[in-house]
Amino acid sequence: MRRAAAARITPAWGVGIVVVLALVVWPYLGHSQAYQLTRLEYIFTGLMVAIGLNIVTGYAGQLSLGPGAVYAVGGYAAAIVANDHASVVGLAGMCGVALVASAVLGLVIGVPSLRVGGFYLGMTTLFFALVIPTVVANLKLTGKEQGISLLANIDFHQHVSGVALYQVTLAAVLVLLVLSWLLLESRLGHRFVTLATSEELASSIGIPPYRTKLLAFLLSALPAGIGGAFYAYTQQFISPGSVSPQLSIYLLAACVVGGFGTVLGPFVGGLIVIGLSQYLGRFEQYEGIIFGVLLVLFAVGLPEGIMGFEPRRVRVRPVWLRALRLPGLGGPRVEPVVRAVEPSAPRPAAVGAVAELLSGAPAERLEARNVSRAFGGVRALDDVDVTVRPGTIHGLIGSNGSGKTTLLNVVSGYYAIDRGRIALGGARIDGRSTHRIAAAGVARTFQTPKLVERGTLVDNVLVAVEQRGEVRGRRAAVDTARRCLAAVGLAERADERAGTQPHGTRRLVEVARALALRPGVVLLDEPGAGLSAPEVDVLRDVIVAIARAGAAVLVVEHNVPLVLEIADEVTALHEGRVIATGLPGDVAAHPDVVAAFLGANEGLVS
Amino acid sequence: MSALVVRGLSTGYGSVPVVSDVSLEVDRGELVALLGRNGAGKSTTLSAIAGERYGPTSGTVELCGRDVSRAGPAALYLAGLALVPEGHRVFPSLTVAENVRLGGFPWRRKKADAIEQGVERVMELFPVLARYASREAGALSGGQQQMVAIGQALVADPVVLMIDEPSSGLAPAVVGDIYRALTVLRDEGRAVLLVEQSIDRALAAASRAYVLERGSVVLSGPTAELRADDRVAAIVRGAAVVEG
Amino acid sequence: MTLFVNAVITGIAVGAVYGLITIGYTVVFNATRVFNLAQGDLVMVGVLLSYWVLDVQHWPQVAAVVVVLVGVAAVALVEERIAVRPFLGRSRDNIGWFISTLAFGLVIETVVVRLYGNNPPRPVPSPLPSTRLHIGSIATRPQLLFAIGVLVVVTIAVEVFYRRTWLGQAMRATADDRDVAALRGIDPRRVSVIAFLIGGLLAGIGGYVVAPIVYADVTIGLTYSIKGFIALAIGGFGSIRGGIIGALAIGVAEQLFDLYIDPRYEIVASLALLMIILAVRPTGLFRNAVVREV
Repeated sequence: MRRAAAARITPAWGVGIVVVLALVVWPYLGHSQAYQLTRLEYIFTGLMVAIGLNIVTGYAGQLSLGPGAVYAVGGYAAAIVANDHASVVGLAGMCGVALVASAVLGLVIGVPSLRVGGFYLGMTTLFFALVIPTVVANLKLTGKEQGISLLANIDFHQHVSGVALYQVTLAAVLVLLVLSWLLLESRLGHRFVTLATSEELASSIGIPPYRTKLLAFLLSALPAGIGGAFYAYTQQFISPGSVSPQLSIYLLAACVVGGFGTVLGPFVGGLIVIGLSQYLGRFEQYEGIIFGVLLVLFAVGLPEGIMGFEPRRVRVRPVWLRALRLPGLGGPRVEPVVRAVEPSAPRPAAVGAVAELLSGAPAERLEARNVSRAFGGVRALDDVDVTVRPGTIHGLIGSNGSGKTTLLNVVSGYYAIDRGRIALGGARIDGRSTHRIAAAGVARTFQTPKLVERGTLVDNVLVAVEQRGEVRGRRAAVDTARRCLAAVGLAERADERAGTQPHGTRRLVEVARALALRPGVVLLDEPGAGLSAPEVDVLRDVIVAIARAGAAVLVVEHNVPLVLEIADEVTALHEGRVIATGLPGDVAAHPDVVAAFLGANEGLVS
Repeated sequence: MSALVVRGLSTGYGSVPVVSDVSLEVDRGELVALLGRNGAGKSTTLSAIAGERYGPTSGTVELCGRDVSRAGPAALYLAGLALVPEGHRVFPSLTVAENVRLGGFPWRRKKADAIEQGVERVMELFPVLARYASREAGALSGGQQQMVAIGQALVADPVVLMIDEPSSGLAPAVVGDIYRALTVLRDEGRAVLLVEQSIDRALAAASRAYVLERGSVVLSGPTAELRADDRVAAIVRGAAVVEG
Repeated sequence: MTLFVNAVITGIAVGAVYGLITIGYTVVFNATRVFNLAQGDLVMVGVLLSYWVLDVQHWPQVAAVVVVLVGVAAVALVEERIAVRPFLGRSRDNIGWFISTLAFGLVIETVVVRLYGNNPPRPVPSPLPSTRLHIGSIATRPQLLFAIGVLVVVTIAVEVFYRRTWLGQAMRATADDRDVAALRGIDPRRVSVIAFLIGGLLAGIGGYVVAPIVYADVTIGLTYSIKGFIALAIGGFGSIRGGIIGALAIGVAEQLFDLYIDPRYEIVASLALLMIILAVRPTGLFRNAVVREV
C-alpha cells in the first residue's frame, strides 16, 4: 500500500534511480577487472535474497531467516547440477534448478513452522540457517568442506561473462525489484500488508491467515533461490563458508537498515550492508561487531529503516541513544494532540449509497441456539438464543461481563462454542474458522478499530473490496472503496492516512470496510463508543440503511438510547444468560432488566 | 485539607482525548462515587490519577496536600494511593495468601511485621479468604477474586482507595458483601473513590457523587440530591426511554 | 543393549547441561516475554572465561567460578540495558527484541573471536578427575554426573526462589499481570534487570559446568540458543520443568542419533524433534501456570 498520499515518485526513488545508473555505468568507468566485477556480482546476489526477505518479513510481517537457508540450498543445487552436466547447463538452467529446490525447501520449512505464530518462524528458520552449513560440510554430494568448484571443472564455461554477466546480474536484481513493487501494489500485496497489521483483522475480512503466510514464505524463497544460482554462476564455486549463519543475520541487517516493508529498502540496505562487508578490508575481523551494533541501533532507534524514515514524526529514543546525541535521532516525542474539541464532523451518511452498495448481497438469517461457552470456570455464555432476521437490527445490551462481546466473538468464529449451534441461512457456521465465516458473508467491526495505520482510508477499504472479489480491475475497485467511504460521510478524508485519524473516523472506516464486503450479516461491537454526537448521527443512519438494504444487523451497545431507537428487536444479557428479549420498549421496561442494570436491592448498604 | 484533590485533569490515549478538565475531591472518611456511561472516561480518570498515563496529561493531583501530578504508579502506591482496577484482577498463579501479602511488597524490608498484621486484618474483613488462603487465586470465583484484589491493596494501608467497578460481572449477594466491606473501610477513615455503572448501588453507599459524560463532569453533589435528579438516570442508563 | 543404555545415560547427562541453559531462557522469558537469543553466547563467554582463568592464568577453580559468574552476569546486564529494555513497553506483537538480541549475540561472538583468536578449541581442566567412572556396567565421566547434580541443585534453588522469596513472588506476579504488579509497587524494569541477572548467572554456571566437556569453541552460542528454544517448544514456554524435560529429550535424541545414524549430522536430531513437536503439539507438552504466549 502506498504509505502516504504523496506522489508515487518521491525523492527516495530519485536517489534510487541515481544509484542504479551509477551501477550500470560502473564497469565503463574503468572498473572492469574480473575480480572487481565478481565482487559486485556477489553483492547483487545478496540483494536478490534481501528482496525475498523483504517480502515475507517486510510486506507480510512474518519474521523469517529462511531466505538465507534457501539461498544456500538453491546455490548448491544449481552448482551440483552444473557441475555434473557442465556442458549442457548454463545460467538459465541453474536458475531453473534453484527455483525448484527453493520451492521445495520453502514448503518443507514453511508448512510446519507457520502453524504457530509469534517468533516461532524466526527461530525455526534460524535453525535451518544453522543446520545447512553443517550438513553441506559433511555431505559428499556437496563436496564437504571444499564445496563445489565450477572453476575447476574443465567442462564448465561461463557462456555469459565479463561485463555482460555483470549487466545480466544487475538486470536480474532490477527485474526482481520491479516484480516486488508490482507485488506490493497487487491484491496479494494488500493481503500481505493487512496480515502484517493484524491476523485478527485479516481473517475478519476473509483473508486466510495460514495460507497467506505460506504464500508469502514461498514467494520469498524464489528470489533467494535465484540469488543462490547466480552466486554459483558468477563466483564459479560454492562452499560451506559461502552460506554461513552470519550471512542470514547480515541480510536481516540489510533489510532493517534499508527499511522493511518498503520497495527500495532491501536494495539500499543491501548495498550498504553487504557492500560494506566486501570493502571492509582490514576491518573484516570486526565485521560482526560493526553489523551487530548497527543492527541493534536500528532495531531500537529506527526500526522503519532509511527508506521508511519520516522526518515529521520524531519519536522517543531510549535514554542511551539520546546520550549519543546523534543528529536527527534524539529528542522527545512530538505528538500532534488533537484538541478536545469536536473533530470536524463527517458529512451526513449517503443512505441511498448504502442501499446501492449492498444491493444484491445475500440476505440471510442468523440464528444462535443454546450457545454456551465457558472460560476456565466462568460461564461467559449460558444457553443463549438469539435470532436476527434479514433486514432487521437486533440490539444486544447488558452490563460489563454479561457476555455481549463474547457472543459476537463466537458468531464470527474467533472463539469456539462448547454447546449449541450457530447457523447462517440454515447452514451451520460454528466450528468454522474466522476467515471462512467472513467469506460466507459475516462482517464485523471491533471494539478498538483495527486499521492498517500506514495506509490511507481508501487503502483500508480497498482490501475488503478486493477480498470480496466481485469487482474487476483496480480502478473500479478503488472507485467502489471511495463510494463506501462516501456512504459513511468520509469522502473528503479518503486519501488521508489512517494512523492520523481520530477515533470516530476510525470507527466509521471500519463500517465502510464492512460495507465493502457486501455482507449478509453485520456484527457491530459497541460502534457508538467514543463517538461525538454528529458521528453518532451518521452511524445511526448508516446502520439503519444497512438493515433496510436487507442485511441482518447485530449491534452490541452500551448506549441504550441509541439501541432503543434503531433496533427492531432487543436481547438483554446478564452474566451470560438471556434475561429478556423482544421489542425494545418491552425489554427496557422488563423488571429483570431494570434490576440487572440498577443492581439488586437486597444486600444494598444504606 | 482533603485526602485527594484533582483539578483540571485532562488525558487520553495518544492523540485521542478521553478526559477533559475533570476536578474532584475525596476526603478521609468519605465514600464518593464516579458515575457515567461506558466510554465516558471513568476508568481513564482513575488510571490517570493513579499515575498510569497513555498520552499527554495535564492538570494536578494532590494527595494529602502534596502535589503528586507527575508521580508514577509505584510512587503513588508508596505514598498511600491504591487503585483496584476493573475486572477483579489477581495474580492467578499465586495463592490467595501470597496475593494479599504481595500488596505489601514495597515495605517488605522495613515493615515485615506491619505487613503480616495487614494480611491478618484483610482475613478478618473477608473471612472467606482465610478459608482459601493456600488456594491458587486463579481457581476462585469472581467475587472472591475481587476480595483478594481489594485485600491486596489494603495491605498498603492506603489513605485513598480507588475502586473501578467493584460489582462488574459479580453475583448480587457477593456484591453486597463487598459494599459492606467498603463502608467499613470508609469508617476506618480512608477516602474511598468508587466508579460504578450501576447507579442505585453507588448512590446508596456514597455520600457524594460526580457524573461523567464524554470526559467531563456534568453533574455533582450530595447523593440525596442526585437521587432525586432525573438527569442522572438519563445520562447513565438512558432510563428516560424506559417509560416510552 | 548396554550401548543403548549408555547412550541414554549420556543423553540425560548432556540433556542436563542443556537443561541448565534452558532454565536461563525460561526465567528471562517469564519475566519479560523475551526469548534471549544471546543466552547461548553468554554460556560461551562463560566457557571461554573459564578457559582463560584455568588454562591461561592457571588460577584455581574457585577463581574460575567467581570470574565466570561475575563476568557473564555483567554482560547480561549490559545486554538488558541496551537490547531489551527499549522493547519492554512495546506491544506484544512487536518482536524487535528478536533482532536486537540476535545482533547482540553476534557482537559477543565477534568480540570473543577477536580476543580468543581463531585457535582450535581446547579442553578446559575440570574440578573433577577425568577418569571414567563405572557404575554397574555403565561407563560415564564424572563431569557429566556433575552436570546432572548441578542441574538438580539449580532447579531447586530457582524454584525456592520463586516460591519462597519476595522477589521471586514479585517476578511471578509480573509474569501473571504486569499492570497490576506495577500498581502494587513492583517495577517491571527492575524485574527485567533481575531476570537478566539471574539468567546471566545461570548462563555462567552453565558455561563453567560445560567447559570441561565441550571444547572451548566459539561457534556454540547460537546452537545453544536454538536448542534452548526447541527444549522450551517441547516442554511449553514458561514452564521450568517443561523446559528441562525438553532439554533431556534433546540430549537423549542426540545420543541415540549418534549411535544409530551418524554423529556428523547430530544437529539433525534436534531438527527432527522440532518438526515433530510442531506437527503434533505446537504449544508444548505441559500446561503451565504462567500465561502461555505464542
